[in-house]
Amino acid sequence: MICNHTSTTKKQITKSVGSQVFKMEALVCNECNALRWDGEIQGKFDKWLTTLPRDSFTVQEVKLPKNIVEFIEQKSIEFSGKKNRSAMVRAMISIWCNFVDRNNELADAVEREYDLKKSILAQDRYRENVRLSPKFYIQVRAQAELSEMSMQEFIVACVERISIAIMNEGEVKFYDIKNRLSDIVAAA
Amino acid sequence: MTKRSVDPVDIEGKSDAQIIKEASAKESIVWERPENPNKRNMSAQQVKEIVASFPDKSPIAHVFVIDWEPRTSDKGTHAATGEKEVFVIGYWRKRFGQNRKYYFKGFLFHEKNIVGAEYQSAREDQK
Repeated sequence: MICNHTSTTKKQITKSVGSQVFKMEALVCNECNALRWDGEIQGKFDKWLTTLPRDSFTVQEVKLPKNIVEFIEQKSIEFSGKKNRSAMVRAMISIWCNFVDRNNELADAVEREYDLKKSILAQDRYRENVRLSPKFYIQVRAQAELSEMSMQEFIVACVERISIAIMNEGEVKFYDIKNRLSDIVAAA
Repeated sequence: MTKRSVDPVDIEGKSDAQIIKEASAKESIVWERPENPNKRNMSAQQVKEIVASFPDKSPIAHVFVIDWEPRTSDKGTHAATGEKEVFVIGYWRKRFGQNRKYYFKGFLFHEKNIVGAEYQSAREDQK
């Protein structure tokens, strides 16, 4: 039986972001304890995020294959004229979350390409700290949870797949991933 | 402070899933249930991520259930002006090669002038 939340009470609710805790009042269902997350709470949460130290949104120790790191550096020079590994990694995660993941056919094609070519990934890993904006951090965290991965694992999965997709441009070449990536990195 | 007016969703020729997706992009209200190891209830941000991937065209391949039933709840900010029926959607997709099934239940607001969706329930099916 699904609750229709007909009986509610205003209560204090909390939401954690790393070690920080967001607190505010929200409507909570008396029967199932669900809380009503609406535009007003979202606005207050977004505002609160901007007050947190920037380090709160850094994903530590992301272990990327060394040959992918070299490829990323080379591409960042091609796209923006400078070696900007961090901007490339962020752009790849963004392309995954906001473009690939929103198109089921493309996501399946990227996965097939990855399955075919993943043997090229080096075993040696480079440890990268990835700093995200507050809102992007929340999006990446939700995506990682939906994928049942840690944020580190999720970022590695995105970067490996997007790298392979633009290296080979097999069946995904019509989706223009490379140009989208280039535009984001050039603007960073 | 006055509220900015939002253009309603143009529903002409669109599938139910597409209308729900477009309404959700304008305003989404999600009843977040407490974490429960036996039920994979979704947060508002997770709902946003999944609903954004509803296909615009040929939704049949991914939307395996779409049903409308009378709404019994008449409480909440949009209850009076919202649609009198609730939608139930079963949506299937792959994430990193793994099959996933999601179920959503909610209603659109406002009736005949759709500018948002309220999700009474959103969960991932257990494997």
